[in-house]
Parts: sequence; C-alpha cells; structure tokens
Amino acid sequence: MTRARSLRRTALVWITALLAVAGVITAGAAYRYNESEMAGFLDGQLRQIALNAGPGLAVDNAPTAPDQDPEDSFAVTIWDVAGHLVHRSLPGADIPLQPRSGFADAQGGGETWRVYTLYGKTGAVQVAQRMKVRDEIAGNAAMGAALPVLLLIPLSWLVVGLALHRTLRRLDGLAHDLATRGALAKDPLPLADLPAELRPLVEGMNGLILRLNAALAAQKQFLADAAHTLRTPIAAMQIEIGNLAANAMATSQRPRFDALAAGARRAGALVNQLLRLARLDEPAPPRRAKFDTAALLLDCIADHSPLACHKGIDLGAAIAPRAMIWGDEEEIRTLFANLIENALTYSAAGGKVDVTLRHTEAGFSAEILDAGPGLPPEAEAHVFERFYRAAPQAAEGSGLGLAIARRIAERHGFGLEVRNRADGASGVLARVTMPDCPT
Amino acid sequence: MPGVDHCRNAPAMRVLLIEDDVLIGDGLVAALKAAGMAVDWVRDGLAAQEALRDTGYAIALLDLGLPGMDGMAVLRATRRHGVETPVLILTARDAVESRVAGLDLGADDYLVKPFEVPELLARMRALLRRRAGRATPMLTTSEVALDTGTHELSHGGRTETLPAREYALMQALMERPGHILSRAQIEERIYGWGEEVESNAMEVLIHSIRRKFGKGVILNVRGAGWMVPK
Repeated sequence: MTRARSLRRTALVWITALLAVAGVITAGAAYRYNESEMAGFLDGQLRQIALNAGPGLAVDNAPTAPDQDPEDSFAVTIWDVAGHLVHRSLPGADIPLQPRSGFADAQGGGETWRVYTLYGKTGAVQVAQRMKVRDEIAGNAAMGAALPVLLLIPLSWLVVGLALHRTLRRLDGLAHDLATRGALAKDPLPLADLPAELRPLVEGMNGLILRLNAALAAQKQFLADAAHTLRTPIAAMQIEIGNLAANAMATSQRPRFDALAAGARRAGALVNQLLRLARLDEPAPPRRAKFDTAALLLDCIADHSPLACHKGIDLGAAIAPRAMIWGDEEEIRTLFANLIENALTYSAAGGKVDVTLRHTEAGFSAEILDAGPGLPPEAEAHVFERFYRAAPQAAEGSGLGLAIARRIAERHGFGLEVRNRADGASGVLARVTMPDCPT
Repeated sequence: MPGVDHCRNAPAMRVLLIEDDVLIGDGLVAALKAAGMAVDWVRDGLAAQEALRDTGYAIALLDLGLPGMDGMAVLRATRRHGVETPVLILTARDAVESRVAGLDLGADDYLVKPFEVPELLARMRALLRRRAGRATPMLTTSEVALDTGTHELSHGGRTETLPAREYALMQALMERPGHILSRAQIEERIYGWGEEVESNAMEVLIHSIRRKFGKGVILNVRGAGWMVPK
C-alpha cells in the first residue's frame, strides 16, 4: 500500500517551493542589477577623477572617515607626453599605462585594478581602483537589496503553513465527526464551516447516508413485518395445540405432542425476539428513568425460579440492597432475563446458578454464574453474534438472547461480558457493569 | 384448566370474542368452550361495536387489527357509550405505545400474540377477580388456589386444609405470587411480636407443605427467600 498523500503536505511543499524559487530568483536578480548599477557608478567616479586630476598633494595623513580603509584609496598616476612618470599617488601601485583612453582591467602591485585612462595634450592620466574594493561595495549594495527578500522566504513558509493548518483543521473536525459517528446515526454531516471545495464531497456523502438509511430502514421494516405477520399463524397453532392437550394427555402420542408444543413455543419465542431486536436497532434512545436494579433483578430471578425448579437447578441469589440506576426498566429486565435464561438453559439437572449484585466503585456489577459445560474455546468471541449458538445443538435457544442483551447494554452504556469461569470450574460467567445513577 | 375449577360459580359465563383471523378464532372458540364458557364470535369492528352494546358479556376479547373498524376505535366507542364490560386486548402489536394507548382507552389487560391458552385463561380469571373486587375468598395463581375462608390449599389435583402456621405462610406467599419473600418478611407474617422462633422453624413448615403437595408448590431461591409462581 502506498502512503496516503496528504493534501496539507502536498500544498505546503508546492507553495513553499514556489516561494523559495521566486525568492531566490528575485534576490539573484536584485543582486545582479545592483551590482552592475554600482559598477557603472564607480566607473563614473573613476572618470570624474581622471578628468579633474592634477599633480596631487600626496598627503599621507589626510583624515579619514572611521569606516574607510587605506585599501579604498584610488591610485592616480600621471605621465607627460614623452611617457615619463610625473605623479603617482600610491607608490606601490605601479600599474602600467594602458595603451588607449577608456576603461580597462589591469594588474599592478600584485592586485587587479579597474583602470580609467585618459590621454590629453599634456600627457596621460590613469585612475585606478582595487577590484576587490569595487566588488565589496557592489556586493554590499546588492546584498542590501536581496536580503529582505531572502528573509521573507522562511517567514512566508511560516505564514502559509499556519494558514493551511487553520483551513485544514476544519477537515480534521469533519474526520472526527465521521470517526465518532455511530453506525446507525441517521443525521447528515454538517456542512457549516466546511471549505467550499469539500462541500460537494460531503454533500455526496450525505446523499449516500440517506440512501443507506432508506435501505436499512426498508430491511428493518421487512424484518419487523415478517416477524409480525408470523405471530398470527403461530398464535393459532399454539391455541390449537392447547386444545389438543386435553385429549393427548393420556395417549401414547404424548411425547410427539409435547415436541410439537415445544416447537410452536420456540417459534413464538423466536418471533418475539426478532421483533425485540428490530425495535432495539431503532436509533431512538431508551426511555430512561431512575429505578432500583436490585428489586428488578430479584423479580427476574423470581420469574425464572419455576423453570429452575422444573429443571432441578439450584438457583441462588446474593443481591445487595438498593442499587439505583438510570435506564429503561423493561429493556434491562430483558437483559437480565436473557442472561439468567441462558444460564438455566445450559445447566444440567442438579446444576447450580448464582446471581449476585455488588456495589462497586463506579456503580454496580451484576453477575450470573452457572456450572454448565462452559463455552468451547473458539466460542467466546462469537457469543454475541446473531443466531450463534455455542451450545450443543440439542439445547433450546434461538441464538438471539445474547445479541439482544448486548444491544441493550450498548444502548445504556453498560459493560457486558460473557466468558468462561476463571476459577477453574466449568461454566459461564456473565457480568453486567452499570454506572451509578447520577443524582 | 389445570388444578382447580375456578368457574364453578359461573357455569354459563358469556365471552365475546372479536377476532378476524379464522384460524385463531376457531381455536379460541374451542379452547374457551372447553373451559366451560359460552362464546360469541364476531369478525369485524362494526359487528363488534354492535355486539358490545349487549352488556351480558362477562368479558370481551378484542383483537386490534380488525377490518372495517380498528380495535382501538371499537374500544373508544364502546367506552364512550358507557359500556363497562371488561376488555382484554389480544394483539400482534406489542409496541409499548400501543399497549399504553389500549390501556388508556379503557382496556383492562393486554396480551400479545402468540400466547398459550392457559396464560389467556389465567389473565381472564385475574381480570374477573379484579372486577369483582375480590368477592371470592380465593387467592389463586395459575397452579395454586388458597381459600382464605376454609384454609384449603389446592394444587396439582389435591386439596387439603392447612394448619394455622402453614396457612399463614401460604397466605403471605399467595398475596404476592411471583414475588420472592425473604425469611424475615415471612417470619414477620407468621409469628407474633416477641415470639421465640426456632432457626429451622420455617424449613419445617415448608417441608410439611411440600410433602403434601409436591416440591413445585413453594419455590426456593437460595439466599433470597421463597415464592409461589404466578
């Protein structure tokens, strides 16, 4: 996989590169231009001196400005018509007389000089300046012109980077919105605050979300309708089975009849669970109220004690009194009922199921512990999947109970884990952790 | 009906069944007749509204999804006309909203399809009891009946008169069927103030009752207490 290309990085690289190149070119052009301007100016000076030079004063200690250097001195040399040296202002600068009037570069005293030579009726004057000094002056002037531009380059990087960051931070907000969005969230993504370029993309996503919602809603509606429609014939079947029960009581057909009755009952329960799951999938939040989960849990245990008695299972309870939580009482009743029913379903006769409710630091913890065969090793990861049944296929159960339990826990922000006991004995531990009711 | 003949005082109880589904209607008519009731069956909302003007019915079973006139509308019109017949809604709709709406409109109870016939009969009995303001001295559940006059307990085809302490224990449990009572709650009901209670006294009482009627008459939840199923 290639690394994802960052818009921000790409834009930053291009813009800073452009600014850098533009800056360097500007600075270079300013440098060259200033340099040549300065050379022309200095040449003009040479010419003026040559025009006006007479036998100089040759004063060694003429006052200087503090930033002047002996090197800065011009070398003025004068010859008569016969070519004899009349005057040399700098004794060391024995620059040979150039053959023609005009500007030239010449060597003298081991240095390179810029020379202006002028032939007149009375002789020749030659004014020279060290090339090194000229370059220095021209360089300083050019640098003065180029330097601000060079300094502006990194500054512009900073400003561009900052501006890009601010613009793209709104993208981060969008990404965060998307990342934290629930799978069932129906509302479109907000368009406010978005850069104009991104609007079509987000609008497209919103369209997709709408179509997805519609498809999902249609599927759910179908599930609900199907389950709903199935209720009537199943109800009719159960009623007729009830009618037959009286007559089938004593016949040898009794076991077959009981199996039929159990099948119809199971179909009825399955349809109810499907409808419940369809309802729980609706994004509407649970209707919340404050209630005592200790009392509710005791109620659920009471509801299941006939089944425990029928199966010969020892059902025990250790319920801490008064555990106020915040939630939909009916949904939480279903959650506990499903967990207790599961424990009883997978326990054999003579088994033991313990239900406990404890106060914890953050709230409450309800545990349902059975001593059944436990989950096969690969099953722990799958128990919450719809229609997954870890148990021997003979055990009753739709495979929806834990999926429903998990949905309810999710809707309430409760923790729910279902796993094998960790104390060495076989069996399953189901634990629900509930936050304390905020007062 | 399992166990007890609850209808001995009303042998000709008339029931109005309002149900458009032929399969369910047929089945229910047979089931209710088998339970000793006289059943009239109507299949649409208008006929139902007509039939409900007859106040001779002890109870009406009302399906909500009816042709012609919705069950809710039938119920509303009936109550508006001042008809007080107890109404038990039978429906495939179970959204909490429609349950609440039905009860708000004056239905007395609500049973979601599919259901089992014994459950329906138990609900009908409970409804009639509630309407009668407990005219009968019987405390009943689906499996057990306790006569508060004669102290007779009936369960699983057996009827026996209970001694005082056993009766007091059963009465405490039968007044809140399906609800677990703790040892302290039961002892409070059985024994007087300051009375010395032996530590295993209750186990003895429960053992005695179970010996007569079987283990299923009183259920134990270890660590929590005892109960009778609803």
